[in-house]
Amino acid sequence: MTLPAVTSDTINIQNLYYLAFWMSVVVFVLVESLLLYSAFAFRRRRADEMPEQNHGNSRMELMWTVVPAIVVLFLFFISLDGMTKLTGAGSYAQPLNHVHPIDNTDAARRIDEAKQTDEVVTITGRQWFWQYRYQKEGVSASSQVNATSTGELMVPAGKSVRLDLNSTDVIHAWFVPQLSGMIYVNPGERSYIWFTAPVGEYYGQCNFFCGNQHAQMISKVKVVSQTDFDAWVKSKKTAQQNDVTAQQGDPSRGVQLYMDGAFKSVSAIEAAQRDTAVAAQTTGMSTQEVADVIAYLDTLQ
Amino acid sequence: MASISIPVQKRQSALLDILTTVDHKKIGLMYMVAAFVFFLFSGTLALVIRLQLAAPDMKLVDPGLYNQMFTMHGTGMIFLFTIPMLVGGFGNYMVPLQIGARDVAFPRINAFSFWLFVFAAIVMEGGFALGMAMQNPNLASNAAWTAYVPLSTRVFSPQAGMDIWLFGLILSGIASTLGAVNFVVTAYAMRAPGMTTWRIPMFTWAMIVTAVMVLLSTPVLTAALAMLTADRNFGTQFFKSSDPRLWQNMFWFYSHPAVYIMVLPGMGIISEILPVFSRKPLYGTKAIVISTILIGLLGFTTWAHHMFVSGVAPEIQRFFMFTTMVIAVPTGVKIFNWIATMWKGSLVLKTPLLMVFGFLSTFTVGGITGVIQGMIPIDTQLHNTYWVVAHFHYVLFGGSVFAIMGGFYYWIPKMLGKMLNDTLGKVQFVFMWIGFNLTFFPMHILGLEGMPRRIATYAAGRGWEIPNLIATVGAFTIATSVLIFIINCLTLLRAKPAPADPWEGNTLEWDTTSPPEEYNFKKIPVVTSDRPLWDRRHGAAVQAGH
Ligand code: HEM
Ligand SMILES: [Cu+2]
Ligand SMILES: [Cu+2]
Repeated sequence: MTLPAVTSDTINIQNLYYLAFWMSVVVFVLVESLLLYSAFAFRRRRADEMPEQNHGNSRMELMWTVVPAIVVLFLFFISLDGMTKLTGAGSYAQPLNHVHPIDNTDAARRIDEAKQTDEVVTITGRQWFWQYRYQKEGVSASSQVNATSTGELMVPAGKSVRLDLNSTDVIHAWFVPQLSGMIYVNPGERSYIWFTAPVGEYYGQCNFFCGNQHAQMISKVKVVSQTDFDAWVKSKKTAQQNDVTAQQGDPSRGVQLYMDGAFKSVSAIEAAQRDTAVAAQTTGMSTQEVADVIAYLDTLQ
Repeated sequence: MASISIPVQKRQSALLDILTTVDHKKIGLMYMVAAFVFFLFSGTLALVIRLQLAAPDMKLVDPGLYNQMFTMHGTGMIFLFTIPMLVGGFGNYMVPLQIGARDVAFPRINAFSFWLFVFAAIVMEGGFALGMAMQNPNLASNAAWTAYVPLSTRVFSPQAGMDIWLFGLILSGIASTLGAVNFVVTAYAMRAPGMTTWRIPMFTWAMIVTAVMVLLSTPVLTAALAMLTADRNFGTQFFKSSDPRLWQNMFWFYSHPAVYIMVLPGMGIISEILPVFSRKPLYGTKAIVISTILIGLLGFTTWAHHMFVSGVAPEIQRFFMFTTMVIAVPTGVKIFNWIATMWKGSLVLKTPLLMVFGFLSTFTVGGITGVIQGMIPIDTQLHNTYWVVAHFHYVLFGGSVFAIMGGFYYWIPKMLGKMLNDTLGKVQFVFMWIGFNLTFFPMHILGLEGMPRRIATYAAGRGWEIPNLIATVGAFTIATSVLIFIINCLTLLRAKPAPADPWEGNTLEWDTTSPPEEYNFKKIPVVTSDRPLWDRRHGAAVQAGH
């Protein structure tokens, strides 16, 4: 009956949960034992038994109004406190480091400064996978497991990492329980998550129902040492340079094709991103056109 | 030979009678039968869901069908079972009897709203059933009962099934709005002489508050559904270009109050059974009524706690966290008042009271987990996980199904003039209580371990296997208990006739024959206290001794 936690945020949440849990146990045991006791102690023993006709007692009732009220108010205030703990100080305080999209540009920059983010990964949710782009390093990866991808989000250990999340289709949610609370990934908006994690592999998956293959939208995070991370970036870069055959798409042509419904389903987009040639065959477009659409989709990030 | 409500003597005209009746009792029974059928249907879907999740990587149903199944399970349980059973069924049957009236205020609207409900249900379930039969995946919705935009828009859910589902839901919303008007007017205008505000029976009180909630909230859902239908079919842009949370706000503005719409009548049933089976007055009647009203009001102020992680501004989150915490208080008051009602009472441990124990013991857990989840930092770890599935089944199954079962055992003697078998009832209770906790308690653990809801399958090695297996075993235990109930209903065919007042009841429905005659009361009773039948049995002297 506990929550998993390895980051400062999740440990804070866990502590709050422990408190709430033990208080709940007290209430639970109190109510259930009163019920059990009543069922045994007050059974009717004679058919003509006539208990005292007690209509109520304002003092008692006041007590069990006021005491629970104090309890929930206490929980309310420690939750408020918990919200600020998870966000750092300042006027941009946001619960769990999640920036409200309405004021995202400024707040994101300021939180960024305050947190001295070391690593930023832009993550795009699509039905039904995640795309990872490392802004500084200029490399990308995806949650899909295939020839070029192990399906993990690689991040360096002990570094402050910021995830910039967006979606190109429906609502998804990013949730890796050990690392942070969850946030919806809304189309047309940006959500943010920060964490600083120790080395390890952390399992998560899309936590908002997003259609047919929602259950397959895995988000595994692999936290490795900085040297391992650098090595991984380097190998990624080489792989991408070797991939000279990759066609350059033109987003301005792609937008029209996309709007015309170049892809019948979102899973088709997914397939196209994996393999342009196959997608060209199945959709009847040229490989250039497929590359154009993908280039357009990439500009949405 | 006692007759049941649908007169056997005129067998040839029974069908015509069902189709044309405007009698609130017959309509109430028809609601109950229909709702029970949808309970069985939606429950069967739940069993398939549980089979699919019994072990990792199961391929019993494909994801597309799985998604349709939990969508129809949720929608069916809420809109076609719980609400029609409690409001249309128990409400229709009992409110006029409890207030000493001969029918509802608008009997024909009542009949119309029933048939509209039946039609709506056929539309909703029909699309799904036809799709199953024809192996056509396009005739049902698969966007979950919440049907969030943009998943439910034409781009991402192009199938006709989505429109069928929306249409059915719109119709059922209209039906329940019409029904609610009827209750409010009936309870306001048709009470027997002497039934002042504080003498209104507790179930009727609950129905009044529920009906007002239905009136204030359902039109908002109906509007949202109509807007989505227009977006999908007529090129409007209500949701396309708006804040992605517009749908969520409109949806939860109805659907959070809907939780109380499903629970308040159940609480009303509890407040009826407890005093009768404890042979004591309800402890703090006024506090119970006031907390019912407060829950009704506060129920409208908490909807955005469903949206804490959807990108709502923090100031708004704080407000809704406050209201969510506060609503626990009147709920707690009720629980303690109910316990106090039993305290030093003279408890008859027959099935209706056992079902009340089922309600109190499980609903309390749902209340507690609700408060935990209302704490925003914790909610960011629990939202949309199996913890939530556990929480709302503790509220809706614990709070509604146990109350409904209690209501059956308590009132079926009145409604059908026959006694259900008490021993079978006790066996049913044991199976139901154990099965319920086996099914839903492990889901708390799954949620804490991060298992999202609405996933068609899961990989091995996440530690989710054992709790899931236990939950599946539990689901079949519940199914067994439901089977026992059905058997018990079949024994009614040879059961002994029920007297007018088998439980030493307090309220006016026990003041007429079982089942009541066509116009309920030969002579409209005059009410002089909140326990008219008690007074008649014991005289006012005992009443005064407090
Ligand atoms: C008969 C025993 C029941 C069992 C075994 C059961 C089981 C389940 C399970 C396993 C889910 C989660 C499916 C998923 O997220 O993939 C679920 C969802 C749900 N259940 Fe039940 N349930 C039962 C009774 C009820 C009752 C009585 C109600 C309401 C009054 C109810 C209302 C719901 C709702 C609203 C959902 C959410 C559907 C959605 O996510 O769209 N269930 N149920
Ligand atoms: Cu997703
Ligand atoms: Cu998803």
